[in-house]
Amino acid sequence: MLEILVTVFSKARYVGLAILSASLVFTIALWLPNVSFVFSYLASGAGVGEKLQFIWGFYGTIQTSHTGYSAAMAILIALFSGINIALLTYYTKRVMTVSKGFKRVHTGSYLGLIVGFFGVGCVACGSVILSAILATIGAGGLLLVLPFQGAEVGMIALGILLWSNYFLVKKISDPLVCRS
Amino acid sequence: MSDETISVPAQQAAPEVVTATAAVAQKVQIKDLLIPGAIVVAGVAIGLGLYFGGSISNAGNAKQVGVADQEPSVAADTTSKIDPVTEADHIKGNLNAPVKFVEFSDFECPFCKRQHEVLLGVVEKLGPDKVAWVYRQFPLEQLHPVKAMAASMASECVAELGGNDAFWLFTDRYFEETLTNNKTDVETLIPKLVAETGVNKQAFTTCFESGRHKAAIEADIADAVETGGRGTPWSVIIGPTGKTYPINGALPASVIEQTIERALQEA
Repeated sequence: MLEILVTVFSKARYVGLAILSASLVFTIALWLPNVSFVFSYLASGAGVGEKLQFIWGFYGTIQTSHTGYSAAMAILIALFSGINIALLTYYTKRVMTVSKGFKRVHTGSYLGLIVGFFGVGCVACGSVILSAILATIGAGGLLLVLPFQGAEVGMIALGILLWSNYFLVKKISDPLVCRS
Repeated sequence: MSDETISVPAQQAAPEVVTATAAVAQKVQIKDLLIPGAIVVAGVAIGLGLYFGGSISNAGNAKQVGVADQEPSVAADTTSKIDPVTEADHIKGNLNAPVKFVEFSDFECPFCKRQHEVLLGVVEKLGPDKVAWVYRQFPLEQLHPVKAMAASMASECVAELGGNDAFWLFTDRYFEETLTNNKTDVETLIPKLVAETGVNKQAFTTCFESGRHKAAIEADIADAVETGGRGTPWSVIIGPTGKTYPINGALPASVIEQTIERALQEA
């Protein structure tokens, strides 16, 4: 297990990919509750320097719009997402050398990941921001029956990510064989 | 071919291990679908986790949906429908300032407390000639039952009886003292703050018990919801050209200041 992780992450490209992916997930998590605000500012006539300053400043919402719990969740989920994407990429490249047909399947998996991001948006829910999506699908009503009003979903997400990472590492360690 | 592509551990390499061939490429075993499946599930989990993961301190997050459900279609920017800022509003600064920062707030929301502290610094730094801070009520009854509404009604009575300055004194002091999340002992705090404002106690009690400001508070809530507010704090920055910037949650001072400066430059 550890050996596989060392093998994958001894390569700079996968470390880079993991960091980039984690940063992306983290940024999306911070931006999504205010996506229209962010884009309206970025689309304004502000200079490049101002826009970069604005983007950097927005990371401060991790302090202003988050509880300790939600901040920890955002960071951990971003971190494990980055690892997950790097492992998936490693595995994909490995399998694609054997089965080109697998490419389509993995494209679908990336798509699933992207679709998952659409659910991002209420990491700032410490401030009880609920997006239109939640209201539209009425999913919020389900939270009423949860003991922690949805906070447990973050833990479940982390668990699934860990499981997914474990599963990927296990698959990477498997030999490429034809099974009878 | 990259160096990591066929890194089959030697001890596991059985005789049936095959090399990459076109024949193998045609067969994708069902078992292999578990990987993308796992990733899809993980992706959804990420989304859900980030979406819902932050609600623990504000237990009852879901109850906010009650408000959201009243108007599910909020995809379009409706901030331009915000009620105009008038003298009837609670304004810190100058009504004629080119930029208005309209905040819909809940006295028991911890993030409103943070936003309040931030905004105090922002309006002091930028000055009344640039920005007017407009306070509107958005008590989340389902999250902070009784207490948030009581504080809102108390603040309105203080405004009626003591004017704008008394309102802001009450509001600033309430956010200083509140324990948030409905933990505040309002029965002690409200009378204490009312006394600090110098408002007549009997007149305040009469006003508060009459509930005569409830309709105005509900109008503020409706305004917040109509403009897209789904939680607190919900804010709309209105620039001199009428351009609006909707803000969910509490933002750092630097972002707010920068946006106000940008709105000023767009005039």
